Amino acid sequence: MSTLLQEKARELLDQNEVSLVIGYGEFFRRTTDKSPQRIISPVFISKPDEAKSLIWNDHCVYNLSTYLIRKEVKAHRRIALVAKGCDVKSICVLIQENQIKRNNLVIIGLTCQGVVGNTPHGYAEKCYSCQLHTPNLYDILIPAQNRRSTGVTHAPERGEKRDCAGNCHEICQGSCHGSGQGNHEGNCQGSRDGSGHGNCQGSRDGSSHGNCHESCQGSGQGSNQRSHQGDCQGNCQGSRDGSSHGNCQGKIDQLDRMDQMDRVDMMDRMSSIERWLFWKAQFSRCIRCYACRNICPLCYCERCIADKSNPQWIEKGSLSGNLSFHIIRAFHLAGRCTNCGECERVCPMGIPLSLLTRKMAQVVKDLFQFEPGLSPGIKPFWGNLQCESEQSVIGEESFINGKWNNGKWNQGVWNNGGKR
Amino acid sequence: MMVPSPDIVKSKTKEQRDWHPRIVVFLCKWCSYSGADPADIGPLPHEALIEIIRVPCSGRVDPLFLLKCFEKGADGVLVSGCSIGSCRNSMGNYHAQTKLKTFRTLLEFCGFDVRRIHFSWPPPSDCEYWAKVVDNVVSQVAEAGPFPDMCPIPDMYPNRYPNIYPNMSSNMYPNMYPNTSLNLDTYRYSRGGK
Amino acid sequence: MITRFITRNSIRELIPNLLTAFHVVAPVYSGNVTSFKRISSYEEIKWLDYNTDKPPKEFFLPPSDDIFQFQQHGKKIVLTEPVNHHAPRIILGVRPCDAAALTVLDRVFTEKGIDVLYTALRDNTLVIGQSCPKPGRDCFCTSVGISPDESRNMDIMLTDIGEDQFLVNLVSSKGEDFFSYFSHFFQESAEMSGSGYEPVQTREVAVYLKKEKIFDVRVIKKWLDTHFENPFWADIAARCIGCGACTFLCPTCHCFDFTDESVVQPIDHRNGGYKGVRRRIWDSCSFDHFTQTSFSGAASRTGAEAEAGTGAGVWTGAASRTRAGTGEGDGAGAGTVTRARAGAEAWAGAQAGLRAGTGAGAGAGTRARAGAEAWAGAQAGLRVGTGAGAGEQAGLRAGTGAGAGAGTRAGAEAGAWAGAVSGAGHQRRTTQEQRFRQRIMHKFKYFVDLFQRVACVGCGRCRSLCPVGIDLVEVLETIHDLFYQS
Repeated sequence: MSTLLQEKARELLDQNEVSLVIGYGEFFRRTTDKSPQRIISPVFISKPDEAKSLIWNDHCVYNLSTYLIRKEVKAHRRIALVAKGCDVKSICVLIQENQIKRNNLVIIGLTCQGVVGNTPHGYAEKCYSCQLHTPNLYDILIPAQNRRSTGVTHAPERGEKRDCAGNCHEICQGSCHGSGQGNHEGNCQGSRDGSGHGNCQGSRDGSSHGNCHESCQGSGQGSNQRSHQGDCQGNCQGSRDGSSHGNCQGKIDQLDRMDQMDRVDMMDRMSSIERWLFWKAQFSRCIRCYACRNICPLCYCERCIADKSNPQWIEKGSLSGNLSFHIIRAFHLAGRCTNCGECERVCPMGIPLSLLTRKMAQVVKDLFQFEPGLSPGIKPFWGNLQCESEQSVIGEESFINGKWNNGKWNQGVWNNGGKR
Repeated sequence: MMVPSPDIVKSKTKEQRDWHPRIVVFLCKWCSYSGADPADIGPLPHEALIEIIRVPCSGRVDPLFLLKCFEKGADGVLVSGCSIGSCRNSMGNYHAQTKLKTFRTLLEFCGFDVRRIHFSWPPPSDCEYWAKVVDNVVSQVAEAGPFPDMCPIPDMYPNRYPNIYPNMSSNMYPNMYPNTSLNLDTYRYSRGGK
Repeated sequence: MITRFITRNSIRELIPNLLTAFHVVAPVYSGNVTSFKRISSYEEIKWLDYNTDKPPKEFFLPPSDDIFQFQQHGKKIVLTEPVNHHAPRIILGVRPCDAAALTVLDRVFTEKGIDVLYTALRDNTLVIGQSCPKPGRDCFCTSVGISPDESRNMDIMLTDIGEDQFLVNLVSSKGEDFFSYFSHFFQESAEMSGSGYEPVQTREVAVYLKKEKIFDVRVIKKWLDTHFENPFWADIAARCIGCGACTFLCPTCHCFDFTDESVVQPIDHRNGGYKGVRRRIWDSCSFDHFTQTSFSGAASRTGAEAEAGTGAGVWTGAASRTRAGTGEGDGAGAGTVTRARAGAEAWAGAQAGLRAGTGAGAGAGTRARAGAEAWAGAQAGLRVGTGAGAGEQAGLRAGTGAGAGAGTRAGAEAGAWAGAVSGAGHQRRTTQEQRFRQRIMHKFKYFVDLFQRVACVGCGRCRSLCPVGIDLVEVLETIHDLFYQS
């Protein structure tokens, strides 16, 4: 709870164990709306009295370990940092890479049930596959946070089918336009008897239709069993008797696997040229503000290669430069990035950067069975390559028997079987 | 549309059809260079132009080099190092393999045509091997076609194809989360509400 | 003042006509953010209630703008004009804050020396603005002297009066010319269902029109004048991560940098040597390498520079990246450059100097730090002044000398620059606190000192798009309170 967090922070500062506590604070921002906007922003506390500004709820999205690499913060003798499970992974990597000393850091670990984000369920994408509800490294543990926004206790887990207990209301934006009553009750809106409502913009009797296709994940057992049970197929847009089905069914598969790799899989299934056009379109919007690089806790080079101008390696002001920058940055984070998702969140142009980092994490995991950030004692991957055998683990390209064998790189690694 | 079909190729002007694949080759100075230098490759298929860059070990090749090659006008890249077990620097080629192959996955994810990027790890001083490698690389790069997209100043290379890919619009991307209503504060502070 | 009306349908019909002769730019959805882009049909226009995420600044100060192309032949470098297309443009849907930001850009780029790239774009643009029907969530334009219905810098202003109709005000002569060509698309009277018409405004905008102020900029300036050092700055800037998001998305921020992008000619080496382009790109004072200048090899400016009265001189380090308008010697030194385009080179120096003059607050005001700041001005001003880095004098020279007289002045002073500035990668503002302070100071104090105008237009983009949620209004309100407490 917030108060436990505040007490602990105050203790640490009172007893002079730390000289700085970095945590989440709530601010009230003046807007042109009638009421001020409550936002969360990092706070830096050095006096015990200020500890009451610390807060912990499901809107605490930031990865505060990014401040551990700032020299103003490093100048403190010992600091305390408030960190969720995903943040602690970044801290582990920083410890592995000798950027911070474990002894100089007091980790106030937060038991986290998911933070808000930009996905249909309202959670951050990283929360869907999170196994670290309790951080794997901490000095003090704070129990789970207040859920400010939704009444649900935790993010849906992979494969979990869940009743739409009022959660759906952002998603089901239309009524499943089958006809008939009872169609939606319990499905797209919350209460089973249909008394709850959200912005399911269709009418209850199904006469208007919307684009429900992602939402009805719930097991809605409305009156018509065949159409509603489990899969929502035939619900959304189908007729009541399930004879036709709409695009709900494909999406339900996706939602079942709604995890970090979902969008990456979608990208993998595209052809090479589609991917190229996609990234060209995305990176032509990049303004090279470097928000992604500066918010990343693992981008701590004092002089980034992108800023180096003698000689100049990465251009500015051109699409190829933007591509180079992001590809190189993703590569420099391979085996180090813990997928906190901050880079994508902070991008002012909304470029899906975490696709790159997640792909890299997937590749490193598949090929080298390495996942960064699980423990501070593990040696970093790139610094400790061991050649295990004559045939290297990644398969060797070789010219065997008069035929060119490119190893597995051109065959079957991609879900489309390497089609161009 | 994947690769320009033959009728598109025929419809190009002679100047455009005179495109020669430009390939940059990084050779480690031990196994690869000693195999490549004396190799009598003769005139290359498609009259390809090959630029050789000798490096002390294939581990020296930073992935950024590959991108710079494309930016400077290459159509294909080949990195060649010693075969496993014969690296003069004991493990340099292993580092190279790990880095570069991981990098190639990333490039393929970003849509680079993987036919443009090749690695080979020849046994020491094997000229025949080398010749076959080059043949293969050149044919694959020629199949992939020209690659002007990464060049910063397109008008600098007039004897290239114009961009053969369809015009991209900045709205062309698969909608990752269609119909999400962003009522929540996502801390990108979507402006003004929807 | 002629009053006319236009409906959305008429605009739909007008657009294809405009597209035949102009580039038409309007708010569109670009991915999942809104920005201004060139459109090719009416359907692409997104009629927004509030302002776009990305301002139309890029149409006046492009994020990447070619200045000249160069081609090296042995020891000579030949400069050629770039192929810049300055087709006439119409920007539709500009809000009063973004239009007022053009005042700031105009002052910077035309007052103390004409920036030809900027004026070419500015003169070729017709701005059709739209008054705000409702304020964005983060707007605070009235606090900085702008109101949601003002038409400064617009040529034509549209006011939404409901039922898909707009009230049209022709503000400038350019607007009137435009109207005279296309008058058949406009109506004399509104075809409203009711008897009269009223601008569509929410209650909030109505309140705004009463010039509601959150803070008083004069109070802010007074506090900033006297509180260069204050623990407040460390507190407020602790969260800042030093990205450029707020600056690049700010409609008034104008700092830039130069970069040379070049390639070695193709393998056939027909021409040999470098060929490339010099670009002016956006830069941000929040970056940790802003104003960082590195002179490795640049000290080899020869005595020939002394004849730089004409701006023609010898300059080593060709085809190298310039930082803050300074020639960073490549060290590798790809031969020498003969200034074929003295005007361009000197102009580049002038621009950078001007930027340094304003950005670093060189020499103006704060004497307490004048040494540092003014020297930074000299540094970044480059090729301006004696560059001895000694105190305010040099800084002042840098600020004014570079600014005034684009062209010859900077060229002349280049001669005096006897390689005395030999800093090696010196950034004066080494902590994020200093850089954050600079940003606030520049907007609300330095710019006021130099140009008598607050450089902020209250669009609120920096507030909504800051990665860590730093709120400019909170900063200013705190300053306000601090002033009254002391």
